Amino acid sequence: MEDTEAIRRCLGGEGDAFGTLVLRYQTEAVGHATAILGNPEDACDAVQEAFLDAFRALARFDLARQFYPWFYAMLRNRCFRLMRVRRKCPAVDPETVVLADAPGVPIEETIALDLALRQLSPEEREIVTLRHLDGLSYQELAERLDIPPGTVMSRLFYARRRLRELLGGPKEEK
Amino acid sequence: MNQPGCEEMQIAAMAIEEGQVPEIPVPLVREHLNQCPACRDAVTAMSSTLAILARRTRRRHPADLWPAIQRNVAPRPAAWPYVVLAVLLVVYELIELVPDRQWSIAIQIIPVLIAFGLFRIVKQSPFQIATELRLEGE
Repeated sequence: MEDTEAIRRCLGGEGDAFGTLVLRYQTEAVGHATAILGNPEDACDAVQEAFLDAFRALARFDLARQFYPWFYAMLRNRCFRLMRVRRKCPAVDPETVVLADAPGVPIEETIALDLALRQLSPEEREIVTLRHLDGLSYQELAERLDIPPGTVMSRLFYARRRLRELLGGPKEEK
Repeated sequence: MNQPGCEEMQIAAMAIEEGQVPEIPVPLVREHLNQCPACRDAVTAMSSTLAILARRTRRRHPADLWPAIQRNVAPRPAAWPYVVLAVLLVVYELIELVPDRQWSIAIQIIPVLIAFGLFRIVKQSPFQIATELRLEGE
């Protein structure tokens, strides 16, 4: 079932049609929320709340748009709200949380990069992972994060510079 | 417009490297990089960081959130039938308080109507015998 069809059915009173959207996007959403929150348990809570927000707001959804970018705005709101409430720093997990194992790359390297990513601020981690793990263009980043393209360039720059420092590069003067 | 500093030039250079059009004219950025070894080195170092991130993917965290969400999106049964039945019950109890009453059969069947109504609302039949009951742990 297409997203728009599922949404139409939900609006028509078939609450179960929303399951199509949840099943389709939950893993992706948990990945994105984990990148912001730093741990998958909190991410699941945020995703669940965000889906409920989306369900309640479906009547305002523009069927000409794509569902996930619209939903993402609610998801990041939920993530940042949860972070404010819990005031919890991302756990320093011995396993990777954000990155999948890459074939041919030593696991130690992946763990080091994952740890460096988790030491970024949530906003930095979000933009870096959306750009490099999801391959979003600058334009898509601007839309997804609701910021001008010029801000995307500068935010990405500072986030990547910090990542480089965390990976052992020289510290830049600010 | 003020002359952009080294940091603005580096931001623009990285954007160019990724195929974007920066706010600073591209020839100006290239000229600056040619004349500024510090910026050139910074951009080279930054590019190597990008190479580390290349071909990386997100770790998947399988989740099954639908059962929990479904409970919250399921349509809730309307409350008004219960309210009507409660009002009927209260009315009947009040009627029963009247001394020396001699009411018609219509009043006397109110409790039956209430019970019938409840079974209708919860979609159960009082005459149906469940034959598939299982004991706990069976």
